[in-house]
Amino acid sequence: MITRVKLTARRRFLGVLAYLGLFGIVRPQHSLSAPHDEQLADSLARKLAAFSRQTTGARNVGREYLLHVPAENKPHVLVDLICATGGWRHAELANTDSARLRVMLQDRIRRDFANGQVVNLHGWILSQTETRLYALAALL
Amino acid sequence: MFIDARRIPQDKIIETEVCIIGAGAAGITLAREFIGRPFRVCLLEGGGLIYDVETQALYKGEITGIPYDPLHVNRVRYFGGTTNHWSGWCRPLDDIDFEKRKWVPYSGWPFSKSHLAEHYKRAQRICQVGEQDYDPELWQTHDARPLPFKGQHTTATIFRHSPPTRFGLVYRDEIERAQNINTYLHANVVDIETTDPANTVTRVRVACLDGNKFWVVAKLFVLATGGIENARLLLLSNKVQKTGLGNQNDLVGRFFTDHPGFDAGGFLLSDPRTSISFYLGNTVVQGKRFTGGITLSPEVLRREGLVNLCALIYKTDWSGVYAKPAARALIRRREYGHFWRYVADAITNIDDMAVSTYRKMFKPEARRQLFMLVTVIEPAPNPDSRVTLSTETDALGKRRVRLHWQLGRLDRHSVSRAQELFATEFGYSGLGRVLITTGDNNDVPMYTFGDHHMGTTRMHVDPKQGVVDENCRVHGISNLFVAGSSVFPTFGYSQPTLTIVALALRLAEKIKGVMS
Repeated sequence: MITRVKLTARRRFLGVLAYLGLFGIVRPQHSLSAPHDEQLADSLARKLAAFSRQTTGARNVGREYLLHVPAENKPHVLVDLICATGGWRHAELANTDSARLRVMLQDRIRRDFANGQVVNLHGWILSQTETRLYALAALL
Repeated sequence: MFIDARRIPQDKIIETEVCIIGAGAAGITLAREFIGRPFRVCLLEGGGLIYDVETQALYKGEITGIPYDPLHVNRVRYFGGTTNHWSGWCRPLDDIDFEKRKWVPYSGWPFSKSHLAEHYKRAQRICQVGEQDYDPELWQTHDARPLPFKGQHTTATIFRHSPPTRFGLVYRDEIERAQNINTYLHANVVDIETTDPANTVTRVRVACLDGNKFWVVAKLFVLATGGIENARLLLLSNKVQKTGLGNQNDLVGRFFTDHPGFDAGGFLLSDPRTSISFYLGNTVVQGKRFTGGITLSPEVLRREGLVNLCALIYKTDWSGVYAKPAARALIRRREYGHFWRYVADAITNIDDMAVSTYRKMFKPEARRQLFMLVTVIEPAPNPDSRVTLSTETDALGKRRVRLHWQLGRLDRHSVSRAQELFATEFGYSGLGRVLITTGDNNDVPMYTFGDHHMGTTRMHVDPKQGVVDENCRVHGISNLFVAGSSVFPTFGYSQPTLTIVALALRLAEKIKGVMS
């Protein structure tokens, strides 16, 4: 069933985040205090950033997103959020080959739309996951 | 026979059996149905055979509410009526348009769409669009297919294109030759007289711009002057019933509407190679041109509580009459700037690896294009949108029309919610991304309308809820009928001409039965 995201005016962007907060999506589920986890997160961040091919367009969209959501302005935070949304563990994604990862992320993006987990960026309705991937591309 | 009414002797009384007032799509359809019948027909047309400024000025009126085209510009007053500038789009109403829907106040026709099935088939031929087949499956070619949406919200729809049929040209000879039909040109009906109480029409007063006047006496009268003028004539005819004929419950003129088209944003395709020819109106299948649209399924409309609607697609560099200025505005809108190009770049890579590979191999400059969505809706019936009489008078001394049109919350909510659903479908299907334009308070800019004048003498079995009954007879008046889009209780998003003709055919059957 498709869940409606309430979009209202300029405040719709933050409204969406409030909506996502209700589902515990905004706050990461996993802790990254261990040093070896940081390395894993770094590696995974680069892998995920490459998904969008880090084009000029992706970087610019990502930058716009981060301007509005400064709390996500760190690769580790973005990685945690992407994994939380997808229900994935870091190691699981890190050990997945690129082709398989692309399929998983595209599926996740489509499910974002189905579940109403979307972002309104200057009127463009984008998947939450894809926007965070663009944000990673902008940071790395 | 065609007769110039200006040559009729002053105050002559013309006797006939059936008097049709107005020679547009409805009036001409009715007249054609009566050719060769054993009763005389008098067809009264206010204009001549060609456009003239003086006659056209009779259509001037006041506009309040939503800014609207001048009333003497969006209607045409000569033989053939508004078909003389009709664009030719044809589509029947949908089944859901006829239903009483809890979330659409005042909805519901006295019959279902299936009741009009045979009339629609004949109307197709009269409007020269061939056999009735609106199934999108039948209109696909190798290069023109509906977008492959994977969700269950949207469906494809089809609009057919009449040449367009200028009824006044195509059917003129047939009517002129008919032995039992006299067509009076330059014959403006200015009053409908009745018995007292007003339960039978006795005669109509006809006036010409040169000052000539005469009467037409008939057994049965049909008002077929269009969605605005039908109401005006009933309101003007107030010698016996002071509020106007058929207006005992203050309904005449109410529920006016047109088909608004909203700037519903646009979309980018993830794969620039994806064809949208299906939607652009340039594709011909078996010699017939069509235009595709994107609509929401009846299940979604019911679940979401929306009015019926359809999104049309325009290229932002298209030279269509309405699309180009709005499309340029879409691209240049200050808050969007060139951001759409970044989005186009981003999604091309993210949605389909095959596209990336294609571009790597061939390195074409895959042309990114922003397409515009215009959402046409079925406006919810609104009794506060209405035709009344102005204090100004026309050249015949009759009060002009004052038109007040407004849209309601359900209309705007339907457009903005549809935008969200389209955005979901595009993204879920991996087809692209949608730009929405919903502003504060679900406000979506309206930028066009169809010049479809509907609803002002709506149909209902209950005289407290309608001006005409299920047979289009004015409640309380035994021999006065109304033809045209003024009788529509609800409006769909389909252009009204096909339904106008279908209803006229239905009414003709009733009248033949009465006259026999």
